[in-house]
Amino acid sequence: MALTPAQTAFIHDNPFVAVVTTLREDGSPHSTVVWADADGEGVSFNTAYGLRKPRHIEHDPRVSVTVVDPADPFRWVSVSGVARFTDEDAEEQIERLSLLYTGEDFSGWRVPGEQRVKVRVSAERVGGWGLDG
Amino acid sequence: MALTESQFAFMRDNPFVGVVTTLRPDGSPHSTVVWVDVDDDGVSFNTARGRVKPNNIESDPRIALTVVNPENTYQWVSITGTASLTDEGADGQIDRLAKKYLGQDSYPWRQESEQRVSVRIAVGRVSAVGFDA
Repeated sequence: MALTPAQTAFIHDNPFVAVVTTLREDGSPHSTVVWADADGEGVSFNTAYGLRKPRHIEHDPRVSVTVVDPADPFRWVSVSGVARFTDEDAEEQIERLSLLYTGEDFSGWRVPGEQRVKVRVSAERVGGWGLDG
Repeated sequence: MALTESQFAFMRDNPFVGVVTTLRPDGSPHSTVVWVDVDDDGVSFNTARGRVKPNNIESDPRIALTVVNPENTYQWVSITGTASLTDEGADGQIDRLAKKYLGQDSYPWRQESEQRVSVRIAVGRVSAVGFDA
């Protein structure tokens, strides 16, 4: 199952945050808020190695990512699938997201010594509302 | 860990939607968007029997609910806990939520065939960003 072009653009083009749910070691859901990204291959987000999310994903890669339009909560998309890490364009992604969400580069947010990682989520199932067509 | 008074008030006094995550029978996370109810007994939401959420909860009651301030996404609260289903009072609850979220006295999309159900969350863990207390 793939995101529609409208769902991809909704996530890619707007500074709408996502709720990401990973699974704790006991299988219970753990949710946090992240900056979201999407392209023709699916949805992704950016985090840093050593944080809880990547540790959960290493244990169980199943996640869900949900983006709601803050101005219209009847427009949203939720993807669930399998996460995998990509180091390659993680830096490029966090800089693009920082500009999109804050209008500034990421330097003010960066934690010394951290290694950013891009988490790409295969869109195995897609749910949503208000974004058809 | 319990919700603070300011976190309760955040969810009770604002028509902010929640992202709720239940677990499919295979353990994978399934997320949707819900209206959030807060009363003296805690946090709950409303759905209808036969849908994915109540079916998942019957299989595994572990749940996460995350509410983000749409006007300031650096303020959010996320709870993980255990869900229980209650039929009693569910019709009144969806009308109350219609008032909170739509400003209408009764839920406008009611279908004769559906049986509303209230989902109450016993709070296990709380994480939050942007709250002083």
